[in-house]
Amino acid sequence: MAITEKAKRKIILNLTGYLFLGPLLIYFIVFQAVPIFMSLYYSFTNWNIGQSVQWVGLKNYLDLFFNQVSYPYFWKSLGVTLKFVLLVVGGTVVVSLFMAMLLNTVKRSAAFFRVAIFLPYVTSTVAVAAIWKWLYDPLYGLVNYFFSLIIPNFQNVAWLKEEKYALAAFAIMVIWQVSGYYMLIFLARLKSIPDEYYEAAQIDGANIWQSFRHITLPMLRPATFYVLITLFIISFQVFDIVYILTKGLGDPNKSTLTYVLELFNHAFRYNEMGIASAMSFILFIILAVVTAIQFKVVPQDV
Amino acid sequence: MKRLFMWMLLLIVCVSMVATLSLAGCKEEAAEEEVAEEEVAEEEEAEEEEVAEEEEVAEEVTEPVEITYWHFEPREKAAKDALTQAFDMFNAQNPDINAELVMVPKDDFNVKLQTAVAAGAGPDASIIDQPLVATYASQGALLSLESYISQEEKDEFVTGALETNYYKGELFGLPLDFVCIALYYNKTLVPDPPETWDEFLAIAREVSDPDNNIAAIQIPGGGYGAWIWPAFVAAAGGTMLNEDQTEAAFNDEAGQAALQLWVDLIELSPKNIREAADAFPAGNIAFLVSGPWEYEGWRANYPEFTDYGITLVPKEVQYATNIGGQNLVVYSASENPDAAVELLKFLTTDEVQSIPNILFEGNPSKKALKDLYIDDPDHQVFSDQLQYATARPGVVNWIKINDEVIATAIDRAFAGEPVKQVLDEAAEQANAILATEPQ
Repeated sequence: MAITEKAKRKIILNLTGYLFLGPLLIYFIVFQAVPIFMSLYYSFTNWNIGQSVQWVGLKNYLDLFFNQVSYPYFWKSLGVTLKFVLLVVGGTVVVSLFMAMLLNTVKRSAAFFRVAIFLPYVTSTVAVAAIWKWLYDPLYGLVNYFFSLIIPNFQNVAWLKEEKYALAAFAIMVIWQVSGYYMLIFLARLKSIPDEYYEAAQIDGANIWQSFRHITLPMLRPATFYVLITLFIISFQVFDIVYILTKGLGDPNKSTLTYVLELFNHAFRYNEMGIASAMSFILFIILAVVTAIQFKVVPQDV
Repeated sequence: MKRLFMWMLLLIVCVSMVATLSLAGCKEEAAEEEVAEEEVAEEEEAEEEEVAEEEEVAEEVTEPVEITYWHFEPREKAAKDALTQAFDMFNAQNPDINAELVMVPKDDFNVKLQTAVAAGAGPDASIIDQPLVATYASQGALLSLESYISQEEKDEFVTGALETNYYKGELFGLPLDFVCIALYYNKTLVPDPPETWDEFLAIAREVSDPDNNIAAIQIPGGGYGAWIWPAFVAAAGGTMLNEDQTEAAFNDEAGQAALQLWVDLIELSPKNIREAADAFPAGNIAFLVSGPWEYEGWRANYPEFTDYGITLVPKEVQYATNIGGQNLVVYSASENPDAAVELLKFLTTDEVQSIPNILFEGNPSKKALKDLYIDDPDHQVFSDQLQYATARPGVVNWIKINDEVIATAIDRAFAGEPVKQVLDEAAEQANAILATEPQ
């Protein structure tokens, strides 16, 4: 017997490990990896599910970029999405950090506020959409009511139907929905900043702004980094709330036609799976590049 | 002890892995098993036949032909029962056919159907969204019904409804149920409904009163508006595409007149009034161009609101409306097309179509059933209006032209751009898309 007892043990241990991994690995390969590579292949074809596949090379990609007649909304949807991303990322970071700092100072019933602020995040998007549709209603909505209290002679606005406001209105909904989650991440990090730093700063004569700028912000870096990266990705992929409130059309006048919504329309309304696959890989490349840049540019360490 | 425990765990993992692996390979095995079973069955049958022949001169028992039919799953139990009842009737009347009814939720229906048909695992026949007839027919997935349906049988259907089943001049389906739009008016604001476009616009000018939160009309923009707009083009005597459906025709004078009417009406209807929730039942708008689901919704949610009337869409040249709804088709992959067509004919008989709750929505597609809802005036108006319906163009890319070309044209015109220019640009774009139609 060449195999020693020790080697035998090692083999068994390894095997056990792989067996434990097995079910998930198979799931991952069959339902995730294979479809991804298949859709990469389909992005070079004119597949429409029903018919046989024809290889068209880079045509889908070139058409999306340059054929303004057949695909007039590719660039538009990318522009809409970029605007949306900037609104959501900026808004969410500010709002969730602000709430986290408030909660960090609250001593009584902190648990209640934590739950209250976190609740929208675990609310289904359909319910969120229904609530905000009423808040934004031009005749009965609370948003118009509050504006009419502040501004004399305020003309009611159909927030979701005006080209200049609709996208921002959606961004506010999403910010409201996800802020609770990012608040928790900031809060966890805030709790880990030792009080001594603030005490020392106070003795040195720093005011509130200075201690925020020079202690809180740098100490939050790992959290900020995570928040920025995940926010960029989720807001680039926004779909459900716009789909629900505009019935998939990106009304009014395509001003809320986000990238993934247009991708979905190509795949499931216009039967252009090849184009849709190409769009999804363009999105993948954009997200990969943006994330890589963030890794380089955003400071991660304290 | 610990060791034993570890081995037991390992065993469980092994078993689950084998199960997963065999699932992956199950297709082949299942096929093999089927073959094996068939062989066994054949042997058994042979034996049985021998026995039968020996014992008595039996009458020839033929196995009924099996067909599957997919339908949208109705929300109401009454509708499900009506469907089941219809299938029981069919199977009782046709002992040689065994039709199986499969109900699929509407939201998943198209994706499921598409993948099943592509994989060769689709049903023999199914209900289908109107615009998809062209899509499936262009892929060769549908059975042509020209040799099954006689001219007399065709003539029994409402013309606009039957038209939605044609692709390149060939019949691929039978119409099941139909909806269209008609004109709702608020009786307090509009005592006498308009019949012509001139009257329509005159009344709209009179009633519009934004200071008191009264708007003239609600016309949706975007893709939904683009579905309604062809009704007005047809009312002005125009069509969406030319006769052989190869080029856009909606930018001619009729199309321009239709869009101009919409722009004039929408200018009398500020967004902050007409876009409010339920503005019509609340009494904030005078007119509404929409389908039967509106009054159905009010009956459930605003039972006290009865102060409305429904009438035909006003005409410029002729009465007209659009059409939406469901068709029935047989798939070319079906092994029993004759039985499947038989089922289609059965489901569109006057008898079955008048079973209460059997239709998925709207009105039956048979001319003979025009007055089925005579006791329900709201419903009956839509039946009358349907007689003037024009089908959507039967081209594969129509949904795309609807969403990305016509919707944009309407939105741009509503935003104040000149109607003619907007429509000419849209026509050019539509022509480019039409050039990519499968030949």
